[in-house]
Amino acid sequence: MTTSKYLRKQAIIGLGGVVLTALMVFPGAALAFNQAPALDSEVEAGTLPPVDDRLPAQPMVLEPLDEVGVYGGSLRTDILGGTDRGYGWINRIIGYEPLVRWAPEGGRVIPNIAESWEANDDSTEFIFKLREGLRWSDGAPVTAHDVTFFVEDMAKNTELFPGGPGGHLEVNGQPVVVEALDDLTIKFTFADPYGLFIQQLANANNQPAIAPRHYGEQFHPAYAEDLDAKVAASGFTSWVELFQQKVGGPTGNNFASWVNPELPSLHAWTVTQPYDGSSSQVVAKRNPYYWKVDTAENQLPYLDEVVFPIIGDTEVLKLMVMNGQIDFTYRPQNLTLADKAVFFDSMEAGQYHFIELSPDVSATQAIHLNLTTTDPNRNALFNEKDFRIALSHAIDRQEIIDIIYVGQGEPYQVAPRPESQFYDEVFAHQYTEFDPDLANQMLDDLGLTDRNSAGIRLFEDSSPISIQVDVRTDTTPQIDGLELIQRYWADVGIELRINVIDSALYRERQVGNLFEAISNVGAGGLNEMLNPRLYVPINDNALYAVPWSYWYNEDPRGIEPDETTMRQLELYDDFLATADEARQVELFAEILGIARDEFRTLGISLITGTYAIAGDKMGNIPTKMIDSAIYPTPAPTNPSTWYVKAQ
Amino acid sequence: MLAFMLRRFIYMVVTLFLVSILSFAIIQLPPGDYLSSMVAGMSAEGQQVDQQFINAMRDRYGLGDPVYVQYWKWISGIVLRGDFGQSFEWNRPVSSLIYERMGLTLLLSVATLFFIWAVAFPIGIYSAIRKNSFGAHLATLVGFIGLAIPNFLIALVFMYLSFRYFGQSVGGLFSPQYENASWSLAKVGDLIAHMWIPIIVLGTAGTATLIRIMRANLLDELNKPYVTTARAMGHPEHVVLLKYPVRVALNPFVSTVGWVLPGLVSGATITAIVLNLPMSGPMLLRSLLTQDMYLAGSFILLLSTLTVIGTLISDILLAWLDPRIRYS
Amino acid sequence: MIDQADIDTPATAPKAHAEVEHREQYAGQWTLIWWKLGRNKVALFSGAVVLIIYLVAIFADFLAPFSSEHYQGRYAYAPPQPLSFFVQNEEGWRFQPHVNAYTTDIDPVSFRRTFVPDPEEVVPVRFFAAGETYHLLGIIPTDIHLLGPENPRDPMFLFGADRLGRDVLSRTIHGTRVSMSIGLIGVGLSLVLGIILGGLSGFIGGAVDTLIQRIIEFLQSIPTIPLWMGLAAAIPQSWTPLQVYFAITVILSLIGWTSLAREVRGKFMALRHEDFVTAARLDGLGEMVIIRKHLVPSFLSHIIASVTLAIPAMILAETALSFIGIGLKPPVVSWGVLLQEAQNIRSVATAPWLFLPGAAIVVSVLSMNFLGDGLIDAADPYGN
Repeated sequence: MTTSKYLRKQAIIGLGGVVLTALMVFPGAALAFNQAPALDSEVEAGTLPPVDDRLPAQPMVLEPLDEVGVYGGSLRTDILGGTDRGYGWINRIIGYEPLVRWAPEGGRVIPNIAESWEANDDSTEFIFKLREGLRWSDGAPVTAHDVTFFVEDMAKNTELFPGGPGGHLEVNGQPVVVEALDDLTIKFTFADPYGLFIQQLANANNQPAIAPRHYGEQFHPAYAEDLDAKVAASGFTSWVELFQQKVGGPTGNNFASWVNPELPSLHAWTVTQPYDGSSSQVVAKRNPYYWKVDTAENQLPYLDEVVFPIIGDTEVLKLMVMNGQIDFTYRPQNLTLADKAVFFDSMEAGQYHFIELSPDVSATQAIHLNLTTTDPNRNALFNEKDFRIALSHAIDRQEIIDIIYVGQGEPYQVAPRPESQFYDEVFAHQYTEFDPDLANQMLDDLGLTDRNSAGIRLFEDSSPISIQVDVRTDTTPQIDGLELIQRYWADVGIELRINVIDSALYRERQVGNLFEAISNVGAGGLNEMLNPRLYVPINDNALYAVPWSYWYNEDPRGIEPDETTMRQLELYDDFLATADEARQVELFAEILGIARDEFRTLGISLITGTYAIAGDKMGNIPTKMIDSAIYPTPAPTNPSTWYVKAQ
Repeated sequence: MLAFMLRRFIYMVVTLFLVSILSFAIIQLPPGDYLSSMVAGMSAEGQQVDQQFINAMRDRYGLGDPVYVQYWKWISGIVLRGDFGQSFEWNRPVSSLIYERMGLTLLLSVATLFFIWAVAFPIGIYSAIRKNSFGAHLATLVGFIGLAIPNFLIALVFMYLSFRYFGQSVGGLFSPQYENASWSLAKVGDLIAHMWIPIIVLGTAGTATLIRIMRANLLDELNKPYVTTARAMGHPEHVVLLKYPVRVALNPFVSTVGWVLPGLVSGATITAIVLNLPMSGPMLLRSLLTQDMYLAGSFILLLSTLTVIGTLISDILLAWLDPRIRYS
Repeated sequence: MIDQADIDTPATAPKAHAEVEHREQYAGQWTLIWWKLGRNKVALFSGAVVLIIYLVAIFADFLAPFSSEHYQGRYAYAPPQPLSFFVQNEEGWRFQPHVNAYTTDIDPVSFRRTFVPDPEEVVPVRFFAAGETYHLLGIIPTDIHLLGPENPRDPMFLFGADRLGRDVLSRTIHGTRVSMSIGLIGVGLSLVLGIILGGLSGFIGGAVDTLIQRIIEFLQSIPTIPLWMGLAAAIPQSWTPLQVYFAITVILSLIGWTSLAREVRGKFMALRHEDFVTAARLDGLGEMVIIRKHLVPSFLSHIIASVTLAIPAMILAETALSFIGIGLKPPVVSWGVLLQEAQNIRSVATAPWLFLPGAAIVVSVLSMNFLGDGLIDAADPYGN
């Protein structure tokens, strides 16, 4: 099989299609790029090659949002202390450099490290062409062997990745096979069709599928000599720990880049003050080999450095923002709608402005009754659709919106957002009208007529119908919401017990199927196809029935789902195997239809009005951003083009 | 004296042994382990975490072992090799993580201790010699208000005020430009400019206790015959006061060293979080929350050791200062 | 053995003062303490405040206009409504206690709620108003509240409303109950442990003393925050808020008893060698009589003083626990819980009335401390 065979057909796949012509082509020889003045002295001293030699033959050209920026300055953006891991945020600001990436406006995938790609008809083979002359941050060339190193030597090493290479590099449990066709061409072969592969490569939750082989080999047992000695010297007990620390592993995307300053990377800034508990901030400095330029032939990034102060408490963060000490903060979970008025007051003094977020999640709060709970009374009751409908009608959503969400949003179920291609008016608004009489009637009709002295309805064995809802300590709006819902449900004779727990215990009870009901933000407002867990139980974040997802993933803890759900999971398998976009949409709509009819989850209201904050002095930051983890806000808007405006 | 010290030393070793068991037990009490908190964090970041990976990590960290095996691994490392183990979260030796934060923590604690003394000493004396006067009540009130307001509240309000009216950089001990700079005069100046809030917040809670002790002891001394004798001999009042009674009343100040320092190191946790101070407290709290076992355990052990040694030192000092209480 | 208590304990010696009134020479010890306390105006005043606070705790249901859960969504973050006594109409001024309702609005850009008093909409307020039903002292069912709007559904937020539109005043009053009782019960538990163990330690001495002293030293050397966190985390998930409340009280007193025990022991040891005890013994009084007539009063007054000083420490510890997020949890209402809800920049900047529970803490801690100090002075009735 030759490459040319594939080149005949420029396969365009994905949600919005792929545009490969976005790149300007520069004449190869007459390049004369500009670099940051901070690098001049190094180039003059000969410790750094000239900028043209550092850039690939065809650098990726980014069009700055507003204008061509100026070099220098720094971006200060926060990491929270407490239990916030921080890695995720560093990754979003500087770490998002996969083979292919989301376009700034979202929806479609564009080239990145790979300058082009194509797929065969049934989506089992994908060939990527890497940029010629691309270099790691230490100057070493990037080759196809760096991709094979990651996939074949790292992800498929069962010691390093005991759970296999991860969702995006396997289909039906069969890992991908990767081979280097030449130094710059790489072929991914799947055993079965994989229609969403390109989107999953761009998905920031997945590993970037490339690692610096020339650095990593020294810690890999297949290549390294005296590895045992290195492990012993490091204080670790196995090569796996050392490798995870030095090069990476399943502990998080680019994890090693934030703790090991030596690790060569393809990021715009490389970490000089690592995130290892030693300092109250993390610092990343300009990568002189960064391979993107602006439209005026300036090598990016504009900013000399990115500084991440580690802040112990959300309130300190708020004060620092108001004091103009933070240039960009994005914490829709911590900076709530009710906080906006406070920020508004200090806007002039602190010289910052709001960035409107358009979230890809759907509901502000979703309450999942555990359909697989081990308590037989509750299991039977929760699986009555009418019971769920009654509880939904008992909630005064408009009052919750008025009190907690400052009047923003509308009553909404966990359903695709109005701007989604899958928007379904019925799904979004079914059972959202506040009607306690109807709720009471429905509960009576279920035979739950006996009540105790407090007015709480009783199970057949005369125990009161109480539902314990788990909620995380750090989600104040949800806790407040539950306090209100507690009253609404008490009015129809159902007791709600709020169980406020920290995130680790929450997770423990979630994956252990130990909860009666659980509260979280409702996902799946946009990007539904990439994150359908609240519609079809494909992973352990399917909170309404975690053991169903275990069954689907052939985990021994699984419980066989009901027939409708099985049918839905079959549809999902078909959907995954489909390469044809129209057919994908069709199948997925069917999956959503089943989710609507099953009505497994109670949503509260549509999320709107969330915001991020940026300093006025920062240029090229969009005033409106997609808010998503898959599209890792703000990475696709290219922080490398952000700059500090001249004062 | 030597026998006394020896006996105290043996007690100390036994206490420390018990403390090490208890500190290990404390961190085992919460449900779950470090991995559950790590996985919670990763899934909050949107990543899927594979169960097999978690199991493999659990094996590697030995978190599946019985508690006594884990305890033995930890304590034998400390006793035999001086190795406090690795922090799961930071993948670094626990000892270096702790020592990195100890410098500023001790600096701040000592500065706070001096602040406490500087405030409590004069107020204590004044309220003893001018007992029940308006001024004495007022001074005591000031001392007690610090005790009465929860620390995090004072910290929050001070920070808000300094933001609103002084325009100082909020939180931390350094302005951003000095955060990672090497030490210089300017950096020291910057540090001092930032230190007053934490010192006041931390100090106010401790002054009330010392004021009370100072006042009570001085009152006792003032009633003793030798004071009357001194007065009768016509010595000026300040000589009468400062020559003996105040000196004797100072004993408790010596004994405070024992518990004030470790108390500040750990008790400052809440304040340090609110004020975003690079002290050991927030790291201790984080390690407890994430169940970073060896880091948390070693931290607790270290703090307890500080307390125990502090108590020992102050006891020895006192025994040396005041022979009357030596062999009681 | 050297202890804090040995050092702090005043080596009291009875002193004869020329100006001591004649009656003092014959008065019993309790009478003396009472007289002495009576001369200390600050302590007396503080004592009255403490008494009032406990009365508030007992009659919280009656004193609070609303229950702690009562809310009015439209009034989230409403500032305090001033209470006025007269309304003006065509006929002139008329006595009618009332508050004015607010017209509320949300700014679409800043999401700020604005509250403008509506002079037209008068909410009549009356004493002994009928409101939500409750059981006075847990027995008598009634719906009378000291002060309340004539129509219980009308808004009356004399100290403003919190983020869910609940009455801050009512919640603070209800919080008194939990916070003050946690102090009292916690100190009670500490006291039982402290007196038994401290007494044993001081009375028997020797090996028992050494052992108990080591236990105390051991417990005191453990940093409190990790100990609290570990113990609080061990509280089972299935427990009701009430059970959690008791568990937390026990946790607090587990640490609290040590200092009391030291004090008891120190006092015991010091008293054994007091001059007046020796004098009594020389007078041929029996051991029991000495203990009853001389040791117990002298000892008890000191213990009472220590207790008064220990309660505020408990109250503060409860707020600290709430801050770390391991203390009491809603729907239980304590001052710590309320402050924890208020401890954010938004409250400091725009809703300072949410710190009313903080004021309650300050007042109660201060008054307990002054009362305690007064008691300490008075407990030594022969001092000047």
